[in-house]
Amino acid sequence: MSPVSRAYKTGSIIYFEGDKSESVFVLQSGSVQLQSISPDGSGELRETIKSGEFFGVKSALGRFPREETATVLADCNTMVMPAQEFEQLVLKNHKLVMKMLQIFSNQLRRLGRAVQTRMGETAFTPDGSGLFNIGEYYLENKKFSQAVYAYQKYVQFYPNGEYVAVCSERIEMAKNKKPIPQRSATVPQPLMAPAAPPETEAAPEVEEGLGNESGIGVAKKYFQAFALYSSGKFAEACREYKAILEKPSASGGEYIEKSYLDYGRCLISMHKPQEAIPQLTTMVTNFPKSPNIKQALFFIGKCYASLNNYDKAKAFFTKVQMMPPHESINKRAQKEIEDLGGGA
Amino acid sequence: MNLSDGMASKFGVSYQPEDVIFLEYEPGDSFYLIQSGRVKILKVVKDAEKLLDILGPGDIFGEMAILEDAPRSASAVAVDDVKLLLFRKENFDVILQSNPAMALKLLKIFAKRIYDQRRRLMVFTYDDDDARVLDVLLMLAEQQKIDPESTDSVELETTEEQIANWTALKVEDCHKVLERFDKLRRIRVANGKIIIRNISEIQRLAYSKRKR
Repeated sequence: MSPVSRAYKTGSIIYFEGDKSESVFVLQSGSVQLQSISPDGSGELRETIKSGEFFGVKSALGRFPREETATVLADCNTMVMPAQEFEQLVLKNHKLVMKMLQIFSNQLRRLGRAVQTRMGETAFTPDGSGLFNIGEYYLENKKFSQAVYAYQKYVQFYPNGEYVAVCSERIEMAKNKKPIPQRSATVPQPLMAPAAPPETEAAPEVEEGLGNESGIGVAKKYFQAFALYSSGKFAEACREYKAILEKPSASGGEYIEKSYLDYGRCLISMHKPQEAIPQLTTMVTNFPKSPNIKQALFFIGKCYASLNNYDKAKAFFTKVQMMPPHESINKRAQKEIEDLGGGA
Repeated sequence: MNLSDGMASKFGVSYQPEDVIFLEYEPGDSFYLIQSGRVKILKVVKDAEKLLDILGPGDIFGEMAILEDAPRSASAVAVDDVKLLLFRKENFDVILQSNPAMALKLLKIFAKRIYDQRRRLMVFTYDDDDARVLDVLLMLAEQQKIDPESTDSVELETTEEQIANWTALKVEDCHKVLERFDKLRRIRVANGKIIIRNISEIQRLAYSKRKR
């Protein structure tokens, strides 16, 4: 089958949204308009096709129903080719392919951003903890080469990350084929525990005797909360964090601080930025020297951004971006500032 | 989909069985075409490694990395001795020029991805919580190529957290909706999956919620 010419009168419909897509059109003369619902649902999109341009390409190539309705604005001539024919044409024309790949990838990027914005962008923060946790998973399950790979990549991509020191210990453990000594009958320690202090690991039997008032008790609670948080059980994790912070103990400083931060992040994941801000602010006020201070400020910025308070958001991101040393979070803050429109 | 030897030696990489090609959460800016051997795609879900797919010669994977500035969403591990062709932004054009079939394949993947993303955005056009949740169920059924007119019970491989994610609703709100439909015996929420008793009924229900 070869391309055929087809003429349409003004006002006629070439295809409807939802129609089966079998062919690709080239407009030779006249005028055609494509109408579709804009992806964010805010209204209708109209695009006018000029002569010499293709339409109906994406749906024909992807073999899914038409996403738009094609209406003839002025009497037109089209060349219609079956999708397979069009594919043959594409195979012979590198420039056409590259051009289309570029258009498609731009659309994909735009759509990806739109989806992320609608989802609140809180589901995932690329701070490397995901990669670290994958390492923990593999180490725990004795898949040592995978574990080593994950830790090495963590150190490579997040050289200033909070787990770097732990990673080098873990790499040694994995190389010696020693799994994480967790989940034994006496020491119920959760899988996703970050940066456990060495004494907890070295002398687990001490932990039992010390009880909940000690720093180690707080650590244990913190790890439990963190495990819940890492597995997406946000509501339960919040309850745990809250419990830790209601009874602060003097010796558990590091974990109190981390609890404020993670409680805040957890609330963000639950789309409660308003409740997250006070937690994060308390951490900043009470632990001004914390190594995690930039994280806290960054997430406060995120909260304000999602509450549409862009000036405040920008102020926080700017603070993070200016704070030495320059590490990946500074870059992320810079990017947030740019996304909010405008330099620091 | 064979490339000239020169191209393969320039952009080719090999892996042995069980070698990691990339891990989920790893940042990356390259994608791969399998020339020989098989690659498994894995993801750790709730403390268990889940096999998502096994790919073979001619398949492309990791292609989203070149578009999005986001870490890998799943891991890729070699099953056999594997030979791959490595694409980066820089060599993209050169490779595609000498391999139009691959270019076409990519074009089709992109077209499909655009469709999927638009479909996801459609969910957000409904203000009503019920309408969103029902629409996500329909979307997942479409993705599993389930006929929406069918009256048989069907299983969707998903969790409440994922549905909350797709709907952009709070986990609790999403849970309330699912719980209600469970009580009405329209669906059953089980561990790691949701069973729909009658998908065409869900479709009708979704339409009625949208109109209100």
